[in-house]
Amino acid sequence: MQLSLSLWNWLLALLPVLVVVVLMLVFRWGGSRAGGLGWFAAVIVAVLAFGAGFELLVYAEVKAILLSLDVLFIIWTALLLFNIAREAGAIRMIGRALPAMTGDRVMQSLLIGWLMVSFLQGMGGFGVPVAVCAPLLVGLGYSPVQAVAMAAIGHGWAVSFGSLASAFQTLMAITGLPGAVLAPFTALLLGIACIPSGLLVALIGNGWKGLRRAVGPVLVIGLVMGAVQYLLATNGLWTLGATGGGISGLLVGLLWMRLPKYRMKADAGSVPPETAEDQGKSLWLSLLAYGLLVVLAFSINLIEPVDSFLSQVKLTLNFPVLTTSLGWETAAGPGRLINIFGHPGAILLYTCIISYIIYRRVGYIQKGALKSILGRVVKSGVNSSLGILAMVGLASVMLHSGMTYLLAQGLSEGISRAAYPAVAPFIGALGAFITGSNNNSNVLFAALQMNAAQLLNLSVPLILGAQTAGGALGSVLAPAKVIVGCSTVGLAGQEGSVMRKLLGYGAVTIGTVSLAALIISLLI
Amino acid sequence: MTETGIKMDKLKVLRPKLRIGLLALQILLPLVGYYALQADQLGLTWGTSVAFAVSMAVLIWIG
Repeated sequence: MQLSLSLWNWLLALLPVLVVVVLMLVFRWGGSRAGGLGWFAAVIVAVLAFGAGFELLVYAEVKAILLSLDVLFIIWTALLLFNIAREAGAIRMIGRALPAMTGDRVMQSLLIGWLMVSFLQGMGGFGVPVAVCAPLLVGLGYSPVQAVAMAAIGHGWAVSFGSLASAFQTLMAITGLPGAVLAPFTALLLGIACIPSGLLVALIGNGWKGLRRAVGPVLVIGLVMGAVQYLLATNGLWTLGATGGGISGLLVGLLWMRLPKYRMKADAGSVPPETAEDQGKSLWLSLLAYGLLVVLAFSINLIEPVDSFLSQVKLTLNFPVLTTSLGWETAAGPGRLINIFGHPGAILLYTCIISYIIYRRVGYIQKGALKSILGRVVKSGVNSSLGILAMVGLASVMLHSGMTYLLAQGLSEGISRAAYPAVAPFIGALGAFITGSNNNSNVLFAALQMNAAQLLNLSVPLILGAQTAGGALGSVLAPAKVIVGCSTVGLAGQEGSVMRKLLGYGAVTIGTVSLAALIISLLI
Repeated sequence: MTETGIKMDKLKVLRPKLRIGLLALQILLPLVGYYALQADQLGLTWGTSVAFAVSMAVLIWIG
């Protein structure tokens, strides 16, 4: 007996994902509950139908814990940074400064929900852009559901070359192909996705009227961001692709707001009044935490001696070869490597400590506020952490029992050569949706997509570009990421409502990449 | 107030603390299981695994 593809097996492999999706979307369960039941479904199917043994399940769960800790380090410190900045008045000050800079709601939503999230994705990683920007959008008057949806959709295009291009590096490592071969199609497809991402942010925040008003700035700024990312990625600087794109987008966006048509003065009622506790505070000093984050992230990631110094302590565990009774094998090796002092979470923590000390010294944070800051962090952090642990555990069981591979195999074998380029982004998106990460989607499916492209005589770089672009856009829809966004705007336990909204918009961005990949495959 | 109502109120108060406990258990139990398995302590590995599954069931129950 061996792992073989049949409709019955394929449906069984899909079952844990269906359980989570149905519970969250139809029954509106929170991420931790739905993930918990999905985990039970995955374990039962893995044991009964995929030959997973006790030892395999234990090791799969430990690998999931390592992956989760890597992610939770960022989430907890991002929450801490946000609550420190909020205590110092940063969120209220931005809420007043932006409407004062331009009264144009469309430009405000694009600036935070599209440009700032993309820039932060360049430097940060898992969930940081949504965790930081969704509360800012709420401060501007958008509903929490709108805010999470805008911040999530707005940065999907920047994920593959974001986080110092970790997902793209994985694509190179898995396929053995050089960056110079993979970068052009990947950057082209993500650049194309950048435009609908901006338009959707305007639509979610401001309706159809807002969408029409956003067409001009989104086309111009989107072209600039896509072009800068393309130029950096195709010239060997893929680690800075999304950061460069995001910075150029922010600069053009700020210039665009100077245009008479978009510089409109804010209505008196749209600028929130200054509160007594913010009187005499400087906007720039209150934003210090975020400025410091930018400086530290660049310094630590780009200055080689600093990076090497901080990367000396790494935590991981070793795992043996794991085999199911059906012969599905996972190679021996270390689990997720956690770089304790050079981790994005560590950079956020350094930022938190320095910012807190400065805010206390200048009197922006009062004595005794630390307790309430930590209380808010724990309240939000515990809920999202439980959800992430359950979801990553589910993904790890599926991965190690061969269920995830079987899902992709079924998709690729049931599709004709002509249609495959259109389907490839959806396979990438499926992997990212299940695992919550573009990086993990590439780990799961890059080799499969490459084999499929070779068998079907299609362009391998195009199909791999479609894989990682789909993974990037699909990762922002994943329950694990939605939980992060929801935790920062008081929507913990209501992730289902946000996912219902997000899935439709996500289908548009992934569909755009799918159509682009199909057209390119016909032209080359 | 009915007995069920009182129980639900108590659960509501306890829920945040239960969640923190569950989070700690869900991180620590698999790690203990890993070291137990490496040391061929199958009984301890089974014990931690069952406790992990129970913690997941409690998580689903308390919502």
